[in-house]
Amino acid sequence: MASAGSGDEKAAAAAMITLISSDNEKFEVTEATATLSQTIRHMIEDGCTDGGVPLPNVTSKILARVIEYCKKHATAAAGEEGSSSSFSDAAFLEVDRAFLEELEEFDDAFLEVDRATLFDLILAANYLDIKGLLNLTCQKVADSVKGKTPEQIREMYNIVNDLTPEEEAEIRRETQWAFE
Amino acid sequence: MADDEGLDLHLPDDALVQVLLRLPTSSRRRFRLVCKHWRNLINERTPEWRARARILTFLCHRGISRAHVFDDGGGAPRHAWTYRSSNDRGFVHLVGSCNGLLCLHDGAASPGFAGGTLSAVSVTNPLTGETVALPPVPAPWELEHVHVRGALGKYSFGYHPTTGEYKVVHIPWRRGQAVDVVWVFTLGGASWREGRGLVALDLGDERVTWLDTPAAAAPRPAPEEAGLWQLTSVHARLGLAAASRTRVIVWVLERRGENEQPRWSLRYRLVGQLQPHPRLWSWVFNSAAAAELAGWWVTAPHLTHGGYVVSESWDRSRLYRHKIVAGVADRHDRSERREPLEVPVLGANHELYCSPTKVFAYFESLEPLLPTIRGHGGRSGSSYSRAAN
Repeated sequence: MASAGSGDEKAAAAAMITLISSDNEKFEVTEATATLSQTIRHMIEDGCTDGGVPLPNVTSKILARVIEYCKKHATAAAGEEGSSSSFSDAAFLEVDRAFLEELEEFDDAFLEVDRATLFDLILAANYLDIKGLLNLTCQKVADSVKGKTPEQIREMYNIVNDLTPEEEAEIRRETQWAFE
Repeated sequence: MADDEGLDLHLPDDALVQVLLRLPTSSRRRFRLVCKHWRNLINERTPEWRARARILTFLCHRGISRAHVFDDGGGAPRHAWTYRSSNDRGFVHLVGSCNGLLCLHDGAASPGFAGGTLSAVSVTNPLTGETVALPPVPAPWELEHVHVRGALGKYSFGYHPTTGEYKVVHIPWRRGQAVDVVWVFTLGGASWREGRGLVALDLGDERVTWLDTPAAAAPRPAPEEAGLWQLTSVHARLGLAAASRTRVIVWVLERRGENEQPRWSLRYRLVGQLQPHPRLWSWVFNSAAAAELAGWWVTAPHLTHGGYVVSESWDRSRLYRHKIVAGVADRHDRSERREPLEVPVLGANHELYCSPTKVFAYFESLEPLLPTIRGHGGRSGSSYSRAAN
């Protein structure tokens, strides 16, 4: 991708931010990558990123994955912006579609993780306020549970059913009442 | 994600809500049965799980049927949909309405018509336009012996809250024929499956239960009050309306505990002297006919709509919504307790002897027709469904 290269060049010139995981590992990222996180964007705007941004809720293992996601999506965003002037409309659409396809493939591969990692990614996306990542990971969980019965959900997630028989009956009735 | 063994769910509420928000409405409704915490989050932090049920009226005429959906407070219809029969002499019936899905039965096709199908059943979401045609119902009798007019049995459409499955139930029946088989089709499935027995069908295990009528629990009405009995649905329970000349008594089948036998209890009295059309006056003195007219009070398959019942005017041109006060609804109360619903007039179709308007509850949703269920892991539910209208 030609424009992916131009994105990287731009990034090299941009300011770098240091993110510090809960186990004290340091990650250098461009501002464009870091600001996919609204939480970090606000910190940068407030000018409190000197000396690195400590992220006590995110382990290095998860942070590395989150940065991988942000890099890809920041590059894609930069590529889209940069290419609009230098291509004809048709060529632009072509590139645009190629980008989206590549991004989709990336997202699919990115989600090939075990459930524990997926949950950690949700927590990180929630804490860092990264909309795209939160949407992606939550949708993955939603898709994996939507066809289950309540009993299967309890087994999957070690949930104890603390509803009394009366409450269960009430919910069943309410479910029906919604259609009355 | 191959790891299917239990994993402690340690998502904070905010993140869990994000997951719940991305579920289809039907799954979200079902997951209120997981535990208290999920129930509370779904009730309090996800939108419209309990969208307002609206009144849907269905007028069935030769060749074409019309559905109208009304807002609270009556007035002009909010939605109007028409359904044409595959045969211009045929009738399209609305089998049931559930979670925004409508199950339609085109009971017109005669043998030899449309490749010999007796009737065609489909499920549709009128808001999304998605429609699924069900395979033909297995024909129980030799076609040449069948009097094809009408529906050749009964159909019903229901939803099981635990498994989230939609099922269409068909009970083949014709005059002089004992009912001995029930066909069940699960939406998303490939074929009709057979069950046996009648009256209450558990949509979970597809087991069928026979019930006593309330006559076993209560004295029969006096001879002059003798009238017609009609099945209806009252707040999602099976209701039995006993219509006499002056009133309609509504019994409801209730089950108090999980292991208790269901019992009939008296729920409503619908009162109001008959004021028939003058042309019908003499006919009405026949008590059976009078009861039939009083039975018009009873809209089927859904009698109650929130705290209201719906009744139909004599000329079939108007419907009214009546408030139930202390278990009684009065047909002649002209106060604000009675609100007219404006059913668009269909000209000559509004004849006195045409079949009554059917009244359903309709719930606006974008519910997809594709099945979201992949297993039968749920407990067998205890919800009773009407087996036949």
